[in-house]
Amino acid sequence: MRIGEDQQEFEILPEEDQPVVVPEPGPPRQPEDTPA
Amino acid sequence: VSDADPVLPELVVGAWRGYRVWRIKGDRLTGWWHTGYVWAPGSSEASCDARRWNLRGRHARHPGLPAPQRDCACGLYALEEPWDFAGYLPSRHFGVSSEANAIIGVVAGWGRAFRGEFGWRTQFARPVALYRAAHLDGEQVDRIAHRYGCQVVEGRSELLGLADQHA
Repeated sequence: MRIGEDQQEFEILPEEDQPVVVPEPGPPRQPEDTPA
Repeated sequence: VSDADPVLPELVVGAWRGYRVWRIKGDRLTGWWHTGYVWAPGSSEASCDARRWNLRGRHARHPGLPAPQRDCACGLYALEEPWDFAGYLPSRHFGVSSEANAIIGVVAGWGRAFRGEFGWRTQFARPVALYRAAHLDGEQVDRIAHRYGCQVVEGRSELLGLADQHA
C-alpha cells in the first residue's frame, strides 16, 4: 500500500489512555449529608 | 506542539481508522506483502526487519527503536479512502495482484504514526471490521472475525460508516 512520500509524524493516544482528571475535593460533608 | 519544534511529533487523541487488505491464512490474517507477519488477536504491534549495509556488514535499519520510523517503510498500514465495490479489488490502489485470499476491512491504528497523502502507518493496530466479499468463504470470515474480535460487514455503507467512526 502506498501512502504518499511526504509523511508527517504523529503520536496517537487511544481514547482510553487519556489522562484522568481528578476533580478538586469539595468541602467536608456535614453529618446531615451522610446517608444513613 | 508548536511549529517551532519540528522534532516532536504532533500529539493526537483517538485512534485513526482506515481501510486495508489482509491475506487470509487459515483462520488468521497476515500482512499483504509480508505474509510471514501474522496479525495478533486484539492489537498488533509493528516491527521492522529492514536492513542496511555498511562496511561492517548488514545491520538493522533502526536498531532499538520502535516501528514505524521516518525514512523507512515499516509500520502497520491503512488507506484513507474507500473504493468502489464493483466485484473487484482496486489493484492499482491496494497493490493487490490476486483476490483469492484477500480480505478488505477497516482497521484502527495508534501509537507512533506517519501520515501521508493517501494513508498512514502506525505502531499499533487492530482490525475493526472485515468485509465478507462474495468470493470468500463466509463461515471462514466469521471465524476470523471471532478470533480477532471484530465485526463482519456485507455492505458498502456499513463499512464506510465504521471507517468514519473513531476507535
